[in-house]
Amino acid sequence: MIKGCIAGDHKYQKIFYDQYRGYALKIVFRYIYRYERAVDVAHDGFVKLFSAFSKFKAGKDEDYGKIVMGWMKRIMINASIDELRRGNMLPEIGGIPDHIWEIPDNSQDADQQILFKDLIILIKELPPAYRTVFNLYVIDGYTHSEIADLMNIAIGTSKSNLSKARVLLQKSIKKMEEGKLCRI
Amino acid sequence: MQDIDQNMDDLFRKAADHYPLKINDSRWDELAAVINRSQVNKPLVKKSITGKYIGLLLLFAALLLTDGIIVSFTRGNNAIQTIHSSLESKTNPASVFKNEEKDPSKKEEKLRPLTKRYESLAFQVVSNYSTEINAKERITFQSKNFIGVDNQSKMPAGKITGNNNTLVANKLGIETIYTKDVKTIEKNIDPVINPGKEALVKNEEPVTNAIKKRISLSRPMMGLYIGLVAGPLIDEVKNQGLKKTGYSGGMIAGYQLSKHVAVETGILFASKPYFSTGKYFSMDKITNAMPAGMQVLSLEGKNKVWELPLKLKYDFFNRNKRNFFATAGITSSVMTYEKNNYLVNMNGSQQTMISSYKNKSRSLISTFDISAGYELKTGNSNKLRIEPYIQIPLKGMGIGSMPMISTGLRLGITKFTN
Repeated sequence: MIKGCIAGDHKYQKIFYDQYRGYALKIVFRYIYRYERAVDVAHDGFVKLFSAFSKFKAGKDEDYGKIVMGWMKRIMINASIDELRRGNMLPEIGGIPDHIWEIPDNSQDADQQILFKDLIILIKELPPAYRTVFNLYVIDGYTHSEIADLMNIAIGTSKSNLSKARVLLQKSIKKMEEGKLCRI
Repeated sequence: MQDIDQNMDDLFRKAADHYPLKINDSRWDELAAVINRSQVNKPLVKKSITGKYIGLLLLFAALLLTDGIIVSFTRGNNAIQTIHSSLESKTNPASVFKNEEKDPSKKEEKLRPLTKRYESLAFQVVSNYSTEINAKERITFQSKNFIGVDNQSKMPAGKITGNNNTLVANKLGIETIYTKDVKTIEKNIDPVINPGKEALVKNEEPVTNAIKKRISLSRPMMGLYIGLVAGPLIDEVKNQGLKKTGYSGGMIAGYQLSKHVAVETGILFASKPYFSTGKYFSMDKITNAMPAGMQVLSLEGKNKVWELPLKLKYDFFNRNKRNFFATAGITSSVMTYEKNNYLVNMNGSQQTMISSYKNKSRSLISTFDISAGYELKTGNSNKLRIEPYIQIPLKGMGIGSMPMISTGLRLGITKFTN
């Protein structure tokens, strides 16, 4: 499949797209507040990915999958940050609609899924600059130095944003737990 | 505290991997279309333009060569004609007509074979004649009558009279006289152009001398002229290469101040494709619109420009039908559209970006233009021209303020209004 994508074969590109578009969208949606916009950004990311696929080089065959996924993740993150920059990192307004979540009704994992969804909503409700640094550092494994380069900010600012993001998230988690207790 | 943070981070990582997001419908068709488009417009292939330059030069050289051949041929015909004239003058024409004078009833009958007899020679003389002098207005008209001589069915209509030595066709006030020695000489009623019937009819000198007399009476085209020009062009930024050929075309107007000097202006529309590395692309005008940290590696683009040239034209070989000229001047431009296909380095990865700009940008004295060309008179007041040119930038062009040199070839037609 990867070789087919490198050759620019649409058949394999489609297989790749269908296999990874969910993965890509979930990366982008952590950064981009609005679902519809996140879908567009992921789409743009795929355009860039397929356009540059011919330049992709990997060593051993077994590494292909992991390397491509890492590469794709990087492209999606870059596309998301570009989109945030275009909006000048301004905070978004409006809630996140329920219909974008896919939670099984009668599954053992339903509670866990709801928890994960709530945690993601907490991340998304952070101010864009904090959210971006938190996502990059905590979830995507970037260093403060890389984040500083990527976002064109000082390393200190990156650390400060992360710290503030943590504080805000802790408060939000506390509120969330209190709310659950009240409901009980 | 670190443990809390660590636990929280783990929890969020897990949430990020497994959160239940609904995946949108596939947009593969849309994606495939975009990929196809980007593959078709795959940018930034530097191509050698040597071939195109050589092509332009060859075209111009071919034109000069053709002109040289025409000149040689014309001179050769003059020589033939002179030889014929000499041969004719050595024979005694009177002897040919001697019997006709005695028997006037056979006059018309004899005259017709006489005309036929000299048909081919007459046409040859006429050919020379028209080649040499048909740039002069009246002579051009007369030459049409001469062509008719070669074909009896196209003999000039009107009153035809004859005597021993000549046959005269009079049509619309213009007399066409065929002399016995086939010195086809015509007389216009206007004595300024033609010195007089008697002088020409009696003229036993070679036709070339008569031609010379007429040439000396000719006047160069003067005054206002207008025209249409169009042709291909190539644009380069610092000799880096190009991918596509553009075009330009429009209307020109000029005023011939003297035999050699004219001023010219016009309005031309040009579509200019170009290519450049990011080195020559200035980000000053678009810094705010582009993501921070973005570096343009290269770009391929196209702009559409209205150009208003103002040039001085010098005709340094303004003779007869041919003219070689050179122009120099400035051009002001109004750019109405620009589209760039960027290859950028952003966040460590290479990406392509497409931007189009529709804001009009005016640039007074944007280029210094020089050209050299060739004109061929095709009628009383018309000229065809071929004009290779080069536009040297005085200011950066477009959104990236790139120093863009345009080289091209304009083909056109001009017409004097008087």
